[in-house]
Amino acid sequence: MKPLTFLAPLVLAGAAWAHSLLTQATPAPDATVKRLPATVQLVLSEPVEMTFSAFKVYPLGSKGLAAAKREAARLFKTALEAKNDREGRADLGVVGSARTAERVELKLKENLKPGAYAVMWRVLSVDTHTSQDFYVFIYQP
Amino acid sequence: MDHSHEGSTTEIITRTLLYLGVFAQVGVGFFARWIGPELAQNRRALRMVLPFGGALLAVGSSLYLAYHIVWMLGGPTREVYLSYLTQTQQGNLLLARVLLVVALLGNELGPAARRNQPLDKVVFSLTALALLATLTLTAHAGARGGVALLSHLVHTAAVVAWGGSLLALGLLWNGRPETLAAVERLSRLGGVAVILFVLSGSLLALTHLSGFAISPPRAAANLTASAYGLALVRKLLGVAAVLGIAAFNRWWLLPRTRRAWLGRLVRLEALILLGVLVLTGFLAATSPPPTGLFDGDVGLVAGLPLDGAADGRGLR
Repeated sequence: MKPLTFLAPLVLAGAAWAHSLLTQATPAPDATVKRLPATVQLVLSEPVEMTFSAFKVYPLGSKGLAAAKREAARLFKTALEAKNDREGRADLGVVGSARTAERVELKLKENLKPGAYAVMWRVLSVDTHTSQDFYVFIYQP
Repeated sequence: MDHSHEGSTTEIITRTLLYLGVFAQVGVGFFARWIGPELAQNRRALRMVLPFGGALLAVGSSLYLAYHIVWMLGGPTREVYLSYLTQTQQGNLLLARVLLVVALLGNELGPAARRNQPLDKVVFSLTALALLATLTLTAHAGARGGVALLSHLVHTAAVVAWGGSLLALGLLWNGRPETLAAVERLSRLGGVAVILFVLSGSLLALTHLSGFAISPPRAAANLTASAYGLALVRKLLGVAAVLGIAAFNRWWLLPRTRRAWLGRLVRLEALILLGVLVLTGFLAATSPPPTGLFDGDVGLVAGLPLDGAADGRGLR
């Protein structure tokens, strides 16, 4: 048998690799909250390398959930790559300095306006795989 | 929500080459000390092909995998690459792996007589286990920890000792009496190794398919309906083929001393084992089925390819 036969399946199929997924979040996805918490808390299914992971919260303005999700999806394509965007964001960065973590806390700015907010992240899991995602919540006092 | 995306072929190939390199290097070291020291000594020049080739593959594929990950995360500049190697747990493990591969290679270059000494066997065992641990800690099991971590290390050690020795025997086979002695020892090792890797592999499969957390029908569905489950089934079929040939060799050919056929089948067994390594590369690059609370609820466009110059570092 030619050794190359073993390599044939490699060019025929790709594979899934979203290894670190969101398992808990506060505020929860799609939730409407009356009081804004001081932090957004995310729990992932696996620990991630914090130096090579990005977490951001963006204000989406006063929108309904469906419109906010569409806006978040649009923003998601570019926001994770953006640099020097602290001013436009609703968060002050990740709390703590752990090298790897599966619980991540993002401190929110004070006096945020009512409206929709998008939480987005891109992570490098400790098993060397990457994944990215986002969700939306609404602050309505 | 679909978290998958095509395009991980690079990772599968790189991981396969990494496993192959470690198999070759550790396996031949184990073979030369416990399974066929006479054969290894008589065919030293040929034997050195495996540790050298294995070391080259293990180091090259490890460094390339790091390059690939850095590229996925925002461009392979030298600063980012160095930052990945020095500031992440997996980067540190990669550097440790490279050092351990070099240490093992240095040990193999020493005089053959040294390999019979107990101290050499202890040093080899500890170095090889540490090398395998660097694989375990950057696998799915490394992220899960606990029982999965221990099971993965036992699984890998049992497979590398037996499978790596099989590769070495396939390469060094010459049909002489000392070869048959090695086959008998490998066969005895196979009995223990099979029990170990079947038990540890079952534990790992149950963990990754969420078999401990969900009902048996759902776990079975994870096996047949998820990409990870199907990759696992393909690997198990390959393992069954290797074990079938091994059993035939052990209980039919070996007692009858059919050397010519034995040699051919040992090589076939080793060849199929290489195929199983490819299937293991697939398995390692495939996400286990998710059990997250928000499966199906979060986001709209997750799983977008991460190519491009995404740079979110420095957010913290």
